[in-house]
Amino acid sequence: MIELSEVRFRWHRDAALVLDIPKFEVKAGERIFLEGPSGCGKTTLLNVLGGVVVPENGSVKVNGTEITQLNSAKRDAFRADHIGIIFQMFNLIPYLSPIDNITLPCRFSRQRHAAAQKNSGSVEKEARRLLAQMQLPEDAIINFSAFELSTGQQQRVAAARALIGAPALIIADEPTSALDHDVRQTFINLLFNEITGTGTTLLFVSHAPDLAEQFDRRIQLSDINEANQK
Amino acid sequence: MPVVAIVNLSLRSLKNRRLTVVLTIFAIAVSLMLILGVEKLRHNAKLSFANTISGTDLIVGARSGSIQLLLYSVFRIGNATNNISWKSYRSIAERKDVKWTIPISLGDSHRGFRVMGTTDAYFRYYRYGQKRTLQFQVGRPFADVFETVLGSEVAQALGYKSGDKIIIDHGIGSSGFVKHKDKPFIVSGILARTGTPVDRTVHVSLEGITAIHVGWRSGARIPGMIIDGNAARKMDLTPRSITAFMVGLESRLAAFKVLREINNFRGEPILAILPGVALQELWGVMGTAEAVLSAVAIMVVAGGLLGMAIMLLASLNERRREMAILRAVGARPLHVGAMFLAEAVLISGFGCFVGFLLLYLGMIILQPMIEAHLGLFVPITPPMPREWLILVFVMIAATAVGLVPALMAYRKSIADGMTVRI
Repeated sequence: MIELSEVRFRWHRDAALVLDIPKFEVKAGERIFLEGPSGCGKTTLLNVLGGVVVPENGSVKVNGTEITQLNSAKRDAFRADHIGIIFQMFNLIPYLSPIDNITLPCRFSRQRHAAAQKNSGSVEKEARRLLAQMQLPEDAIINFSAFELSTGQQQRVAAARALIGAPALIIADEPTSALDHDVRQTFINLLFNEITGTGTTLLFVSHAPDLAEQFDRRIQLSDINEANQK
Repeated sequence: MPVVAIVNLSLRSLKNRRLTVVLTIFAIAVSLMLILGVEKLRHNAKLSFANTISGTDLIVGARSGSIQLLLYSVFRIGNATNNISWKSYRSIAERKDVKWTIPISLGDSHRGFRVMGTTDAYFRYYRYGQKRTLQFQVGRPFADVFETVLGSEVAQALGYKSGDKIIIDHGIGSSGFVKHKDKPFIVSGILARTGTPVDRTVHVSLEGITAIHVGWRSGARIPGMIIDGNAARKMDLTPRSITAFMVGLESRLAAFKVLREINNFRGEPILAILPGVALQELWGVMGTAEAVLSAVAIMVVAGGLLGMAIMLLASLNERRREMAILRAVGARPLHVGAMFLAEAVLISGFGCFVGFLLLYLGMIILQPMIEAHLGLFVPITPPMPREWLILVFVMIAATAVGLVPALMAYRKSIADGMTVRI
């Protein structure tokens, strides 16, 4: 699913290396718990995987595609088609309703639009299904703008958005760090429920070690990234 | 990414920032209203100007400037420096190639309105606008020496009706402390509105002008000499001179030939002008004011568009998260830039639409006032090609201005990627 080899990245020509990853592989359907202190290159790695930035050398294969060979427009299209992303917080576009936030990726990806349609008949129905799946009763949130939802609700809407149209890879960047302890567990359970059996790969970044045991594999970023290790 | 989706996002984003967006739309609307309003006024002023006189081939007066002659003979502005003798007038009027003439005699006034002596020919041959003749609202042309026909505005402003008696003031000026009190005139008719200086004119016969000046010399009453109306009527009232006259030719093709011949007239120094040419010259003089007005309107539009650019640029920072989210769900930097551009175009589009509404609303409200105070009738018509052209230019300018925030958003979006920076 993910194959990185000899990936080196720095933000400026004169800056120090932020990423220096000789090898990193994730199999399809794996649920990876990636941990590391802030400033160790997590965000940069996610940007590389998402194709927003290109490393200065090395190979980045996601879902079988060598994304370093794509131009920026194709990388954006690739991300739209294959990757769902959940941020730490403030995931939602304030002027869109929860449903419109969820269906947003389908506006940028025909593939996910088609997949969502196939699954539930229409993109909106699929969004509602995912909301229900995330245990957010539609009528409880439908009339609220994104900012009126609680943080936990916002993160669940964000998860539904990442999941819509069944992308092959979900990248969650500390999605639970803004949540209370018990809400956190619920969130992970719901996320797992939805991807179980679909073959979706999950890359879950966090620095809450107590969550790690539920994942297939636990990776310290410092173990794979040789940069910053003086 | 379909254009529809981008426009849709832009619309919702604008809706989310209602207050600033509405204010910006309003600023653009007002500026568009101004520029179109100026254009409409200019167009109609020019039109009404050009419509003041038509169908007249030549205007002849004492030798002076062509604009001066046009001003006093047609617009009742300023004074003639000299008169033309009756003899010279008749010799030209009797030419074979001259079809008709309208003699006019100016110099007196009635409560601020100019009095013009003329003949029946005026009501028969004078044309304005699209070759329209003068129509009577009530009554008929003057038939007697002491009868008068009022322009519609004179009658309306002073509240005269047919049959009223009026006293003509000697000379020009609203004070009129020297009056031709001994010889009142009876209103025989009131003309229909023309939208030209005719509306502000008191018309009497040439004989009437002569009659009220019997017993006057050099602009003052001769002491002890009082001749009443009836006595004056019995005298020979053929004027000795007139101020100017209008000429209609048998064939317009002869206009230049006649013009040349009149300008070489041996009897006295007289001047003939082609009204169309003189009107053009006069409008050219006013062209500067016109240009200044247009320039101010353009500046106001530029100000409105600049306001929009500032609004969008100011929002750029607070929308970086939104941009990062869009990138994360697969938007290209180009999409993000396009969204900002779409917002600029939408704001300007709404602005122009509201501007049009304001313009027509303003015209409906102000039309009677403009007509009453400026004597300018602004018809409420659909936008003319030139106005559409202005609209297109404003939209092009708006798009160009909108490119600035769009480009900034594009570049920020590349730099930030999907990193949420606050």
